[in-house]
Amino acid sequence: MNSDSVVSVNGLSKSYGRLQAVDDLSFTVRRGEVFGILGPNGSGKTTTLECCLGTRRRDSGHVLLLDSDPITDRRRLFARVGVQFQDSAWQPAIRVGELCESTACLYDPVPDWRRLLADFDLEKRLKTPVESLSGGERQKLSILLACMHDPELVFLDELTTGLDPIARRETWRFVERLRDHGATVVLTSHFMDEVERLCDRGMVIRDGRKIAYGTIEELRNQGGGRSLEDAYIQLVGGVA
Amino acid sequence: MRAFGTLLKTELRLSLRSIDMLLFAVFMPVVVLVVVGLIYGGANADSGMIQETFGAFLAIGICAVGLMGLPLTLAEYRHRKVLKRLQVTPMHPALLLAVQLVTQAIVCTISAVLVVAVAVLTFGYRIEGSITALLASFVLVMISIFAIGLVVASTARDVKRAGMIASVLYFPMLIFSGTTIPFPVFPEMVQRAAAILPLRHGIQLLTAASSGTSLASMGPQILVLTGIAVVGIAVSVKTFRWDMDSSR
Repeated sequence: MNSDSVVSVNGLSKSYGRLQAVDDLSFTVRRGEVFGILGPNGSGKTTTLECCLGTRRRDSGHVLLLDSDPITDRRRLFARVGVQFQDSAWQPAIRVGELCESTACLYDPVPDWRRLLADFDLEKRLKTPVESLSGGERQKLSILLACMHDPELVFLDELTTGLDPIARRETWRFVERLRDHGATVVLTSHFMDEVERLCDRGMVIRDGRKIAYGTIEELRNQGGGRSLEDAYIQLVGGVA
Repeated sequence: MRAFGTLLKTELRLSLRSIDMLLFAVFMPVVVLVVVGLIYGGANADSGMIQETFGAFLAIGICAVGLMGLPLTLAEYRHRKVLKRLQVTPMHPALLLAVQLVTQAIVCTISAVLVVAVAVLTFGYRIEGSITALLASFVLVMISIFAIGLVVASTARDVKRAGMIASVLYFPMLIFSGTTIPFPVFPEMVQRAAAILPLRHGIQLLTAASSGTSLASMGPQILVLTGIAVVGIAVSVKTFRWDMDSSR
Protein backbone atom coordinates (compact mmCIF):
# COMPACT_ATOMS: atom_id res chain seq x y z
CA MET A 1 0.00 0.00 0.00
CA ASN A 2 1.26 3.40 -0.95
CA SER A 3 1.38 5.41 2.28
CA ASP A 4 0.68 8.53 0.24
CA SER A 5 -2.88 7.38 -0.49
CA VAL A 6 -5.27 7.87 2.41
CA VAL A 7 -8.35 6.54 0.62
CA SER A 8 -8.01 3.62 -1.71
CA VAL A 9 -11.08 2.14 -3.39
CA ASN A 10 -10.87 -0.77 -5.80
CA GLY A 11 -13.70 -2.31 -7.81
CA LEU A 12 -16.41 -1.05 -5.44
CA SER A 13 -19.93 -2.20 -6.36
CA LYS A 14 -23.25 -1.81 -4.61
CA SER A 15 -26.77 -2.52 -5.77
CA TYR A 16 -30.18 -2.00 -4.22
CA GLY A 17 -32.31 -4.79 -5.64
CA ARG A 18 -32.09 -4.33 -9.41
CA LEU A 19 -30.67 -0.84 -9.23
CA GLN A 20 -26.89 -0.79 -9.64
CA ALA A 21 -26.06 2.23 -7.47
CA VAL A 22 -22.28 1.92 -7.69
CA ASP A 23 -20.62 -0.05 -10.44
CA ASP A 24 -16.99 -1.21 -10.27
CA LEU A 25 -15.63 2.09 -8.99
CA SER A 26 -11.93 2.62 -8.30
CA PHE A 27 -10.19 5.77 -7.11
CA THR A 28 -7.46 7.00 -4.81
CA VAL A 29 -7.27 10.08 -2.61
CA ARG A 30 -3.80 11.37 -1.75
CA ARG A 31 -2.69 12.78 1.55
CA GLY A 32 -3.36 16.49 1.96
CA GLU A 33 -5.60 17.01 -1.03
CA VAL A 34 -9.25 18.00 -1.33
CA PHE A 35 -11.00 15.41 -3.47
CA GLY A 36 -14.45 15.94 -4.97
CA ILE A 37 -16.96 13.25 -5.87
CA LEU A 38 -19.21 14.93 -8.41
CA GLY A 39 -22.37 13.87 -10.12
CA PRO A 40 -26.05 14.67 -10.49
CA ASN A 41 -28.63 13.70 -7.88
CA GLY A 42 -29.05 9.94 -7.75
CA SER A 43 -25.72 9.26 -9.46
CA GLY A 44 -24.36 7.30 -6.50
CA LYS A 45 -22.25 9.93 -4.71
CA THR A 46 -23.68 9.31 -1.27
CA THR A 47 -23.74 5.53 -1.71
CA THR A 48 -20.06 5.67 -2.69
CA LEU A 49 -19.25 7.74 0.35
CA GLU A 50 -21.20 5.46 2.68
CA CYS A 51 -19.60 2.31 1.29
CA CYS A 52 -16.21 3.95 1.92
CA LEU A 53 -17.22 4.63 5.52
CA GLY A 54 -18.73 1.21 6.13
CA THR A 55 -22.11 2.67 7.07
CA ARG A 56 -23.38 0.74 4.07
CA ARG A 57 -22.18 -2.74 3.25
CA ARG A 58 -20.54 -2.97 -0.16
CA ASP A 59 -21.42 -5.93 -2.39
CA SER A 60 -17.86 -6.28 -3.63
CA GLY A 61 -14.58 -4.41 -3.93
CA HIS A 62 -11.92 -3.21 -1.54
CA VAL A 63 -11.90 -0.07 0.57
CA LEU A 64 -9.03 1.14 2.72
CA LEU A 65 -9.06 4.36 4.73
CA LEU A 66 -5.67 5.23 6.27
CA ASP A 67 -4.69 1.62 5.46
CA SER A 68 -7.53 0.25 7.59
CA ASP A 69 -10.79 -1.52 6.82
CA PRO A 70 -13.66 0.79 7.85
CA ILE A 71 -15.86 -2.07 9.05
CA THR A 72 -13.50 -4.34 10.97
CA ASP A 73 -11.33 -1.49 12.25
CA ARG A 74 -14.18 0.93 12.92
CA ARG A 75 -13.39 2.27 16.40
CA ARG A 76 -9.65 2.78 15.87
CA LEU A 77 -10.18 4.32 12.46
CA PHE A 78 -12.85 6.84 13.41
CA ALA A 79 -10.65 8.29 16.12
CA ARG A 80 -8.66 9.68 13.13
CA VAL A 81 -11.45 10.25 10.61
CA GLY A 82 -14.26 12.83 10.72
CA VAL A 83 -17.56 12.57 8.89
CA GLN A 84 -20.32 15.04 8.20
CA PHE A 85 -23.47 13.44 6.85
CA GLN A 86 -26.11 15.22 4.84
CA ASP A 87 -29.05 14.40 7.09
CA SER A 88 -29.79 15.79 10.53
CA ALA A 89 -28.46 13.65 13.34
CA TRP A 90 -29.08 14.84 16.84
CA GLN A 91 -31.32 13.92 19.72
CA PRO A 92 -34.61 15.84 19.90
CA ALA A 93 -34.42 18.91 22.18
CA ILE A 94 -30.64 18.65 22.61
CA ARG A 95 -28.79 21.95 23.03
CA VAL A 96 -25.68 23.02 21.18
CA GLY A 97 -23.41 22.71 24.22
CA GLU A 98 -24.80 19.31 25.19
CA LEU A 99 -24.32 17.96 21.67
CA CYS A 100 -20.73 19.24 21.56
CA GLU A 101 -19.87 17.90 24.99
CA SER A 102 -21.38 14.46 24.40
CA THR A 103 -19.56 14.17 21.08
CA ALA A 104 -16.25 15.43 22.46
CA CYS A 105 -16.25 12.87 25.28
CA LEU A 106 -15.96 10.04 22.73
CA TYR A 107 -12.44 11.09 21.78
CA ASP A 108 -9.16 10.76 23.60
CA PRO A 109 -7.91 13.33 24.43
CA VAL A 110 -11.18 15.22 24.76
CA PRO A 111 -11.14 18.10 22.24
CA ASP A 112 -11.56 21.67 23.47
CA TRP A 113 -15.04 22.14 22.00
CA ARG A 114 -15.65 25.46 23.77
CA ARG A 115 -12.74 27.05 21.96
CA LEU A 116 -14.04 25.63 18.69
CA LEU A 117 -17.52 27.04 19.33
CA ALA A 118 -15.90 30.45 19.70
CA ASP A 119 -13.83 29.90 16.53
CA PHE A 120 -17.00 29.04 14.64
CA ASP A 121 -18.75 32.08 16.09
CA LEU A 122 -21.33 29.89 17.81
CA GLU A 123 -20.51 30.50 21.48
CA LYS A 124 -23.66 32.60 21.91
CA ARG A 125 -25.61 29.50 20.89
CA LEU A 126 -24.30 27.33 23.71
CA LYS A 127 -27.74 26.84 25.28
CA THR A 128 -29.81 27.04 22.08
CA PRO A 129 -31.66 23.89 21.00
CA VAL A 130 -29.96 22.61 17.85
CA GLU A 131 -33.26 22.55 15.97
CA SER A 132 -33.66 26.32 16.48
CA LEU A 133 -30.38 27.17 14.70
CA SER A 134 -30.43 28.65 11.22
CA GLY A 135 -29.41 26.42 8.31
CA GLY A 136 -25.98 28.03 8.12
CA GLU A 137 -25.36 27.72 11.84
CA ARG A 138 -26.43 24.09 11.82
CA GLN A 139 -24.05 23.37 8.96
CA LYS A 140 -21.20 25.04 10.81
CA LEU A 141 -22.06 23.01 13.89
CA SER A 142 -22.06 19.75 11.98
CA ILE A 143 -18.64 20.57 10.49
CA LEU A 144 -17.42 21.41 13.99
CA LEU A 145 -18.72 18.07 15.29
CA ALA A 146 -17.04 16.21 12.43
CA CYS A 147 -13.71 17.95 12.90
CA MET A 148 -13.38 18.63 16.62
CA HIS A 149 -10.85 15.80 17.11
CA ASP A 150 -8.45 17.11 14.42
CA PRO A 151 -9.03 14.21 12.02
CA GLU A 152 -6.43 13.37 9.37
CA LEU A 153 -9.19 12.57 6.93
CA VAL A 154 -12.57 14.29 6.65
CA PHE A 155 -15.65 13.31 4.64
CA LEU A 156 -18.22 16.00 3.86
CA ASP A 157 -21.45 15.04 2.13
CA GLU A 158 -23.13 17.87 0.14
CA LEU A 159 -21.94 20.40 2.63
CA THR A 160 -23.49 23.51 1.12
CA THR A 161 -26.78 22.18 -0.29
CA GLY A 162 -29.57 24.46 0.91
CA LEU A 163 -27.33 27.25 2.23
CA ASP A 164 -27.57 30.91 1.26
CA PRO A 165 -24.58 32.45 -0.60
CA ILE A 166 -23.05 34.00 2.51
CA ALA A 167 -23.25 30.80 4.51
CA ARG A 168 -21.79 28.91 1.54
CA ARG A 169 -18.74 31.18 1.39
CA GLU A 170 -18.27 30.87 5.11
CA THR A 171 -18.48 27.08 4.90
CA TRP A 172 -15.89 27.05 2.11
CA ARG A 173 -13.49 28.95 4.31
CA PHE A 174 -13.78 26.24 6.96
CA VAL A 175 -12.93 23.61 4.39
CA GLU A 176 -9.91 25.62 3.30
CA ARG A 177 -8.86 25.94 6.90
CA LEU A 178 -9.09 22.17 7.35
CA ARG A 179 -6.89 21.71 4.31
CA ASP A 180 -4.42 24.30 5.55
CA HIS A 181 -4.17 22.34 8.79
CA GLY A 182 -3.04 19.36 6.73
CA ALA A 183 -6.24 17.30 6.68
CA THR A 184 -7.25 15.34 3.62
CA VAL A 185 -10.82 16.15 2.58
CA VAL A 186 -13.26 14.10 0.52
CA LEU A 187 -16.44 15.92 -0.40
CA THR A 188 -19.46 15.29 -2.59
CA SER A 189 -21.04 18.13 -4.48
CA HIS A 190 -22.98 19.08 -7.55
CA PHE A 191 -21.94 22.71 -7.50
CA MET A 192 -19.07 23.30 -9.90
CA ASP A 193 -18.08 26.70 -8.51
CA GLU A 194 -17.58 25.00 -5.16
CA VAL A 195 -15.52 22.21 -6.67
CA GLU A 196 -13.34 24.63 -8.67
CA ARG A 197 -12.68 26.71 -5.59
CA LEU A 198 -12.03 23.88 -3.13
CA CYS A 199 -10.88 20.71 -4.86
CA ASP A 200 -7.47 19.66 -6.13
CA ARG A 201 -8.74 16.55 -7.84
CA GLY A 202 -12.00 14.76 -8.31
CA MET A 203 -14.09 12.31 -10.22
CA VAL A 204 -17.40 12.60 -11.99
CA ILE A 205 -19.81 9.70 -11.66
CA ARG A 206 -23.04 8.93 -13.46
CA ASP A 207 -25.25 5.93 -12.76
CA GLY A 208 -22.63 4.72 -10.31
CA ARG A 209 -19.89 4.65 -12.93
CA LYS A 210 -16.77 6.77 -13.12
CA ILE A 211 -16.87 8.91 -16.27
CA ALA A 212 -14.04 11.33 -15.55
CA TYR A 213 -11.19 11.35 -13.04
CA GLY A 214 -8.19 13.55 -12.35
CA THR A 215 -7.17 17.10 -11.46
CA ILE A 216 -9.75 19.84 -11.92
CA GLU A 217 -7.83 20.88 -15.05
CA GLU A 218 -8.04 17.32 -16.39
CA LEU A 219 -11.76 17.08 -15.62
CA ARG A 220 -12.27 20.32 -17.56
CA ASN A 221 -10.35 18.92 -20.53
CA GLN A 222 -12.08 15.53 -20.41
CA GLY A 223 -15.40 17.31 -20.76
CA GLY A 224 -14.00 19.52 -23.51
CA GLY A 225 -15.49 22.59 -21.89
CA ARG A 226 -14.15 26.02 -21.22
CA SER A 227 -15.41 26.04 -17.65
CA LEU A 228 -15.74 23.11 -15.31
CA GLU A 229 -19.49 23.59 -15.39
CA ASP A 230 -19.60 23.27 -19.21
CA ALA A 231 -17.39 20.21 -18.99
CA TYR A 232 -19.53 18.68 -16.26
CA ILE A 233 -22.75 19.17 -18.21
CA GLN A 234 -21.07 17.66 -21.26
CA LEU A 235 -19.90 14.67 -19.20
CA VAL A 236 -23.13 13.84 -17.40
CA GLY A 237 -25.09 14.28 -20.60
CA GLY A 238 -27.33 17.20 -19.74
CA VAL A 239 -28.57 19.88 -22.14
CA ALA A 240 -26.41 23.02 -21.92
CA MET B 1 -15.77 5.83 32.35
CA ARG B 2 -15.44 9.57 31.74
CA ALA B 3 -17.36 9.21 28.47
CA PHE B 4 -20.00 7.17 30.27
CA GLY B 5 -20.52 9.94 32.84
CA THR B 6 -20.81 12.70 30.25
CA LEU B 7 -23.19 10.72 28.06
CA LEU B 8 -25.29 9.71 31.04
CA LYS B 9 -25.61 13.32 32.16
CA THR B 10 -26.80 14.40 28.68
CA GLU B 11 -29.21 11.52 28.18
CA LEU B 12 -30.69 11.95 31.63
CA ARG B 13 -31.31 15.64 30.97
CA LEU B 14 -32.93 14.83 27.62
CA SER B 15 -35.06 12.16 29.18
CA LEU B 16 -36.34 14.44 31.94
CA ARG B 17 -36.91 17.19 29.37
CA SER B 18 -39.43 14.98 27.59
CA ILE B 19 -42.95 15.50 28.91
CA ASP B 20 -44.21 12.08 27.74
CA MET B 21 -41.71 10.31 29.90
CA LEU B 22 -42.53 12.29 33.01
CA LEU B 23 -46.22 11.78 32.40
CA PHE B 24 -46.17 8.03 31.81
CA ALA B 25 -43.28 6.96 33.99
CA VAL B 26 -43.33 9.34 36.92
CA PHE B 27 -46.79 10.87 37.36
CA MET B 28 -49.00 8.04 36.18
CA PRO B 29 -47.88 5.50 38.82
CA VAL B 30 -48.53 8.08 41.53
CA VAL B 31 -51.94 8.97 40.12
CA VAL B 32 -52.96 5.31 39.91
CA LEU B 33 -51.76 4.77 43.46
CA VAL B 34 -53.79 7.71 44.73
CA VAL B 35 -56.92 6.64 42.83
CA VAL B 36 -56.72 3.03 43.98
CA GLY B 37 -55.93 4.20 47.50
CA LEU B 38 -58.98 6.45 47.60
CA ILE B 39 -61.34 3.88 46.06
CA TYR B 40 -60.34 0.94 48.20
CA GLY B 41 -59.12 2.44 51.39
CA GLY B 42 -59.35 6.11 51.85
CA ALA B 43 -56.83 7.89 53.93
CA ASN B 44 -58.31 6.68 57.18
CA ALA B 45 -58.94 3.04 56.32
CA ASP B 46 -56.29 0.37 56.73
CA SER B 47 -54.01 0.26 53.73
CA GLY B 48 -54.93 -3.33 52.91
CA MET B 49 -55.49 -2.92 49.19
CA ILE B 50 -52.31 -0.95 48.74
CA GLN B 51 -50.48 -3.52 50.77
CA GLU B 52 -51.78 -6.32 48.57
CA THR B 53 -51.03 -4.71 45.24
CA PHE B 54 -48.05 -2.56 46.10
CA GLY B 55 -45.83 -4.31 43.56
CA ALA B 56 -48.20 -3.23 40.81
CA PHE B 57 -47.63 0.47 41.47
CA LEU B 58 -43.90 0.03 41.16
CA ALA B 59 -44.44 -1.98 37.99
CA ILE B 60 -46.34 0.80 36.18
CA GLY B 61 -43.20 2.92 36.10
CA ILE B 62 -40.97 0.02 35.12
CA CYS B 63 -43.38 -0.83 32.30
CA ALA B 64 -43.64 2.71 30.94
CA VAL B 65 -39.89 3.17 30.97
CA GLY B 66 -38.88 -0.32 29.83
CA LEU B 67 -41.52 -1.01 27.20
CA MET B 68 -42.07 2.51 25.90
CA GLY B 69 -39.30 4.91 26.89
CA LEU B 70 -36.33 2.67 26.22
CA PRO B 71 -37.30 1.13 22.85
CA LEU B 72 -38.84 4.33 21.51
CA THR B 73 -35.79 6.41 22.41
CA LEU B 74 -33.43 3.98 20.68
CA ALA B 75 -35.72 3.58 17.67
CA GLU B 76 -36.01 7.33 17.33
CA TYR B 77 -32.24 7.81 17.60
CA ARG B 78 -31.82 5.25 14.86
CA HIS B 79 -34.54 6.82 12.73
CA ARG B 80 -33.09 10.32 13.09
CA LYS B 81 -29.64 8.92 12.19
CA VAL B 82 -28.19 9.85 15.56
CA LEU B 83 -26.82 6.31 15.80
CA LYS B 84 -25.42 6.54 12.29
CA ARG B 85 -23.52 9.68 13.28
CA LEU B 86 -22.16 7.79 16.28
CA GLN B 87 -21.21 4.87 14.07
CA VAL B 88 -18.52 7.08 12.51
CA THR B 89 -17.03 7.92 15.92
CA PRO B 90 -15.09 5.62 18.29
CA MET B 91 -18.32 4.96 20.28
CA HIS B 92 -18.71 1.32 21.36
CA PRO B 93 -22.23 -0.11 20.91
CA ALA B 94 -22.11 -1.55 24.43
CA LEU B 95 -21.42 1.93 25.82
CA LEU B 96 -24.41 3.30 23.95
CA LEU B 97 -26.75 0.60 25.28
CA ALA B 98 -25.34 0.86 28.80
CA VAL B 99 -25.91 4.62 28.89
CA GLN B 100 -29.53 4.16 27.80
CA LEU B 101 -30.14 1.38 30.31
CA VAL B 102 -28.75 3.37 33.22
CA THR B 103 -30.57 6.56 32.16
CA GLN B 104 -33.89 4.74 32.05
CA ALA B 105 -33.12 2.92 35.29
CA ILE B 106 -32.65 6.26 37.01
CA VAL B 107 -36.00 7.54 35.69
CA CYS B 108 -37.56 4.30 36.90
CA THR B 109 -36.02 4.73 40.34
CA ILE B 110 -37.28 8.31 40.63
CA SER B 111 -40.76 7.00 39.86
CA ALA B 112 -40.44 4.22 42.47
CA VAL B 113 -39.17 6.55 45.18
CA LEU B 114 -42.10 8.86 44.53
CA VAL B 115 -44.58 5.97 44.71
CA VAL B 116 -43.14 4.76 48.00
CA ALA B 117 -43.12 8.29 49.42
CA VAL B 118 -46.75 8.98 48.49
CA ALA B 119 -47.89 5.56 49.75
CA VAL B 120 -46.13 6.04 53.06
CA LEU B 121 -47.06 9.67 53.62
CA THR B 122 -50.63 9.62 52.31
CA PHE B 123 -51.87 6.13 52.98
CA GLY B 124 -49.79 5.11 55.94
CA TYR B 125 -48.23 2.31 53.95
CA ARG B 126 -45.32 0.43 55.54
CA ILE B 127 -42.88 -1.83 53.73
CA GLU B 128 -43.22 -5.05 55.68
CA GLY B 129 -40.57 -7.10 53.92
CA SER B 130 -36.86 -6.49 53.97
CA ILE B 131 -35.72 -3.43 52.05
CA THR B 132 -32.87 -5.40 50.53
CA ALA B 133 -35.23 -8.06 49.16
CA LEU B 134 -37.48 -5.36 47.74
CA LEU B 135 -34.56 -3.54 46.13
CA ALA B 136 -33.19 -6.76 44.64
CA SER B 137 -36.62 -7.66 43.29
CA PHE B 138 -37.06 -4.19 41.85
CA VAL B 139 -33.72 -4.39 40.03
CA LEU B 140 -34.47 -7.86 38.67
CA VAL B 141 -37.92 -6.89 37.38
CA MET B 142 -36.49 -3.71 35.89
CA ILE B 143 -33.67 -5.47 34.06
CA SER B 144 -36.00 -8.13 32.77
CA ILE B 145 -38.61 -5.67 31.43
CA PHE B 146 -35.81 -3.47 30.03
CA ALA B 147 -34.43 -6.52 28.22
CA ILE B 148 -37.77 -6.95 26.46
CA GLY B 149 -37.66 -3.27 25.50
CA LEU B 150 -34.11 -3.66 24.15
CA VAL B 151 -35.19 -6.54 21.92
CA VAL B 152 -37.97 -4.35 20.52
CA ALA B 153 -35.45 -1.56 19.91
CA SER B 154 -32.96 -3.83 18.19
CA THR B 155 -35.38 -5.70 15.97
CA ALA B 156 -38.12 -3.23 14.96
CA ARG B 157 -37.39 -1.99 11.45
CA ASP B 158 -38.53 1.58 12.04
CA VAL B 159 -39.96 3.97 14.59
CA LYS B 160 -43.56 3.22 13.62
CA ARG B 161 -43.14 -0.51 14.09
CA ALA B 162 -41.25 -0.01 17.32
CA GLY B 163 -44.16 2.10 18.57
CA MET B 164 -46.66 -0.53 17.52
CA ILE B 165 -44.81 -3.43 19.14
CA ALA B 166 -44.21 -1.37 22.26
CA SER B 167 -47.93 -0.60 22.55
CA VAL B 168 -48.92 -4.20 21.94
CA LEU B 169 -46.65 -5.21 24.82
CA TYR B 170 -47.30 -2.26 27.08
CA PHE B 171 -51.07 -1.92 27.24
CA PRO B 172 -52.08 -5.57 27.78
CA MET B 173 -49.36 -5.95 30.39
CA LEU B 174 -50.46 -2.75 32.05
CA ILE B 175 -54.11 -3.78 32.12
CA PHE B 176 -53.97 -7.51 32.72
CA SER B 177 -50.97 -7.80 34.99
CA GLY B 178 -52.75 -5.98 37.78
CA THR B 179 -51.15 -2.59 37.53
CA THR B 180 -53.96 -0.17 36.81
CA ILE B 181 -56.76 -2.60 37.65
CA PRO B 182 -56.05 -4.72 40.73
CA PHE B 183 -55.49 -8.32 39.70
CA PRO B 184 -57.96 -9.92 42.14
CA VAL B 185 -60.80 -8.06 40.40
CA PHE B 186 -60.41 -10.11 37.19
CA PRO B 187 -62.41 -13.32 36.59
CA GLU B 188 -60.40 -16.46 37.18
CA MET B 189 -60.03 -17.23 33.48
CA VAL B 190 -58.45 -13.86 32.74
CA GLN B 191 -56.21 -14.29 35.75
CA ARG B 192 -54.99 -17.60 34.43
CA ALA B 193 -54.32 -16.21 30.95
CA ALA B 194 -52.55 -13.16 32.37
CA ALA B 195 -50.32 -15.35 34.49
CA ILE B 196 -48.07 -15.92 31.47
CA LEU B 197 -47.30 -12.20 31.11
CA PRO B 198 -43.74 -11.47 32.25
CA LEU B 199 -44.90 -8.43 34.17
CA ARG B 200 -47.32 -10.58 36.18
CA HIS B 201 -44.30 -12.48 37.53
CA GLY B 202 -42.63 -9.21 38.26
CA ILE B 203 -45.59 -7.90 40.20
CA GLN B 204 -45.88 -11.13 42.18
CA LEU B 205 -42.23 -10.88 43.10
CA LEU B 206 -42.44 -7.18 44.02
CA THR B 207 -45.58 -7.69 46.07
CA ALA B 208 -44.08 -10.67 47.87
CA ALA B 209 -40.93 -8.72 48.65
CA SER B 210 -42.81 -5.65 49.86
CA SER B 211 -45.21 -7.63 52.04
CA GLY B 212 -42.51 -9.71 53.65
CA THR B 213 -43.38 -13.04 52.05
CA SER B 214 -40.29 -15.22 51.85
CA LEU B 215 -38.72 -14.99 48.42
CA ALA B 216 -37.99 -18.71 48.66
CA SER B 217 -41.54 -19.31 47.43
CA MET B 218 -40.87 -17.08 44.42
CA GLY B 219 -38.45 -19.47 42.69
CA PRO B 220 -40.41 -19.82 39.44
CA GLN B 221 -40.92 -16.07 39.14
CA ILE B 222 -37.25 -15.32 39.76
CA LEU B 223 -36.27 -17.98 37.23
CA VAL B 224 -38.60 -16.67 34.50
CA LEU B 225 -37.52 -13.05 35.03
CA THR B 226 -33.83 -13.93 35.03
CA GLY B 227 -34.31 -16.01 31.89
CA ILE B 228 -36.03 -13.14 30.10
CA ALA B 229 -33.26 -10.75 31.16
CA VAL B 230 -30.42 -12.98 29.95
CA VAL B 231 -32.04 -13.96 26.64
CA GLY B 232 -33.30 -10.44 25.96
CA ILE B 233 -29.95 -8.75 26.50
CA ALA B 234 -28.12 -11.40 24.48
CA VAL B 235 -30.54 -11.07 21.57
CA SER B 236 -30.47 -7.28 21.59
CA VAL B 237 -26.67 -7.09 21.66
CA LYS B 238 -26.45 -9.68 18.89
CA THR B 239 -28.97 -7.89 16.65
CA PHE B 240 -27.88 -4.33 17.40
CA ARG B 241 -27.76 -2.09 14.33
CA TRP B 242 -26.66 1.50 13.94
CA ASP B 243 -28.85 2.01 10.93
CA MET B 244 -31.64 -0.13 9.51
CA ASP B 245 -30.78 0.90 5.93
CA SER B 246 -27.17 -0.20 6.20
CA SER B 247 -27.84 -3.86 5.40
CA ARG B 248 -30.06 -2.99 2.50
